[in-house]
Order: sequence, then structure tokens, then C-alpha cells
Amino acid sequence: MNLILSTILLAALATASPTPAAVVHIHDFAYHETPVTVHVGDTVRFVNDDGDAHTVTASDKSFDSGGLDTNESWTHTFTKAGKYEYFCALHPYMKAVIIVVPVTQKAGN
Amino acid sequence: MQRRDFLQHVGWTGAGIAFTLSGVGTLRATALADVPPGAFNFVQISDSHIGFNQPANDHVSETLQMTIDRINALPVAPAFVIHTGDVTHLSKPAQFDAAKSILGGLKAPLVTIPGEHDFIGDDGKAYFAAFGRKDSKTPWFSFDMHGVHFVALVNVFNFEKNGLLGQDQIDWLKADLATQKTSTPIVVFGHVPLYALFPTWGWETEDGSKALALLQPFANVTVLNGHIHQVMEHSEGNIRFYTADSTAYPQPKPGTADKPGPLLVPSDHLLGVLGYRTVALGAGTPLVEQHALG
Repeated sequence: MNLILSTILLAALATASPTPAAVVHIHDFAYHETPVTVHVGDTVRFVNDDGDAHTVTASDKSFDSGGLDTNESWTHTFTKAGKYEYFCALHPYMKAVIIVVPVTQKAGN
Repeated sequence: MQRRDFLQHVGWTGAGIAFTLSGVGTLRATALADVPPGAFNFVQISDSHIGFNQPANDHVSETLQMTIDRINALPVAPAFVIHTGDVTHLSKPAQFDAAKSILGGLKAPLVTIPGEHDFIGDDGKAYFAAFGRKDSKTPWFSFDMHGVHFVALVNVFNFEKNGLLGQDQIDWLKADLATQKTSTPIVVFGHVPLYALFPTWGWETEDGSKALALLQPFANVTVLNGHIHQVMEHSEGNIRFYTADSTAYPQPKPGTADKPGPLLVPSDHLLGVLGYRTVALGAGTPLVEQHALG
């Protein structure tokens, strides 16, 4: 029984979303804040607090949230260092940046 | 001439349109009914946003259904109904299924083009599965009906740059229009306005000027679009632009708010800013009219 419970617990831990290193809120047709700097391997959570749908779409197509309706959120883990410009595919004047640095460098907004 | 008189003058059933494929993905229509020379009509609807569920209108399926019922009850059946995009709100399969089911209630043939809300996350894969034309090799297409050349454009690829046609589509348009006499009436469908209506809010097509340059030689050009959820008219030379109301919710007039997006109006005013558009084509300027649901 203990083995079964341990297996279930491990499986649950493996599939659980990691705690985000940063949270970007979308409201008033803008991403808050930008730029955001995180480490390689960090997860960023994007929350749509706006009254209209938005997306989180990388200019280089490396990630795309799909449509985020009001109160929906989406997370993405950044596995490579770099400067990631992204925009809303529904409102293209909404633009922002995530900067991903190696773990040896200091992150923060 | 009043609309009723005009329609009685135009009066035909609209039945019996047979589409045949000719050229590269070009649809041609053969009128089988006894169509009076020089006039016929069609209907435009737009921006249904099936799946939208916010206070601006949490009954978008019902307002689309109401629109369909009004169109089906028109005294003169339209030759076809064009939906100028944003059929769905978030491009989800269930939303396409629901939209297809409601639009399937139209008595008249349906023609659609996509909006950016139909292209979310998959470059239009779900849209084309639901509404793609199997008789066209390209997402964009043209057809001829009763002496009018209709061009259906797709300007929501790569929406990072607002509306965008792309060079492939521009090249196709150039070749397509080269087959037409400059005296042929041209009607163009697009989702995003082809001209710079209000770039601050993304209400323009980045390379729309290239398309308009190709259309300028024609004596009679009508451009119908959606996207901005309100009626506006504009002209440049021989090109007349008309934007349509949504069947779902209105948006602010350009520059009257900090941002675009769903505009909350008093519930008893909502049906007054939703509706469909009739377009009657005769010898001269088209008769373009917006019809509110309430």
C-alpha cells in the first residue's frame, strides 16, 4: 500500500506545475511588468485580468499560449537564455519582453 | 428609392446559383434563375465571436441566431451571405462546431473569410477544417456572379504586424485582377480594414496599400470588412470602404476610449448596435445598408 501511495505522490509531484518565478498580469491591454528577467529553467505565469481575450505569443514562435479568456492563466518554462519578445496575437500593439539569464546571474524585474 | 421599392424592382428569388470551378481556384457562378439584368443582392455579417461570454453580451449564439432568422426572412433572398471573420472568439473546436451549426441554418449559400480570432494558436488550422473551401488551392479566392468580380482576402496571417496580406497574396491578387476589365465592378472582402483606419488600435492592414494600388484602376470598387464592430464609411478614389457592425458586441469609436475591446452598452440598447448588412448591386454605386437587430 505504501509503495502505491508513494508512486501516486511521485506522479502527482511530477505533473504539478512548478512555482512560478514571476507572474505577468495582463490588464488594460498591456503586460505588467515588462521586461521581466528570470533564470534558465524558471517558469513564468501569465494571468489575464482583462475584460477581453489575449494571447502570449513569442515573436520567434518559440511559445504561444493560445487564446486566454478573462481570468484564464498560462505558464511557460524557459529552458534557454535569451531575450524573448512576445505580443498579443489579437492586439498586436501589446508587446513585452522576457529576459532569461543563466543561473549564475541575478534575475528580477 | 426606398429599400422596399428597390428590392421589389430588383425582385428575384436568388435561387439556383450554380458554382463551377475555373482557373486557379476561381469560382464562377452561373445564374440559373431568371435574374433581371443589372441587379442582385447579398448579405454581409461579421464578428460573431461564438464563445464570448462577458458582460458586453453573454448571449452571442442567440444574437447570431437572431441575425440568421432575420436574413432568412428577408423578402428577397440574398444570392449568398458573406461572413467577414471572427466567427469564433478563441478558435476552439467547440466554438467552431457551434458556429457551424448556427450558420448552417442559413437558407442562402455561406461564404466566409477568417478573422484573427479564428487563427489563434494554430495559424487557422481549425478554421479551415470547419470553413475552408475545398475548391480553392489558396486560403484567398475569387468568384464571379452576375457580372461582378468578388475577391475574398485573408489579412490575418502574422498578426504581429496588424493586418497583413503577404507577398504571395498580393501576387495572386495582381494575377486575379489582370483577368478583369477595368469596367467590371469589383467587391472585395477582408476582415481587417485594408486602409489605415486607426493604426493605434491595429485597425489597418500593413500592406493594404499594395492591394489598393492594384484596385485603383477599376472604375467601381467596393470593400467590405469587419473587425472594428461598428459602421464606418470611407472612400479613396473609386474605392469605397464599408465596415460592418458585429453580431456579438460593439467596440468604441476610434480614439474615444483608452483601448478597443468589448463595449458595454445598456442591455436594452445592445440589439440596436448589432446586425447585418444588405448590399444591392446595380448599374451604379452599390446600395449598402446596415440593419440593426433591434
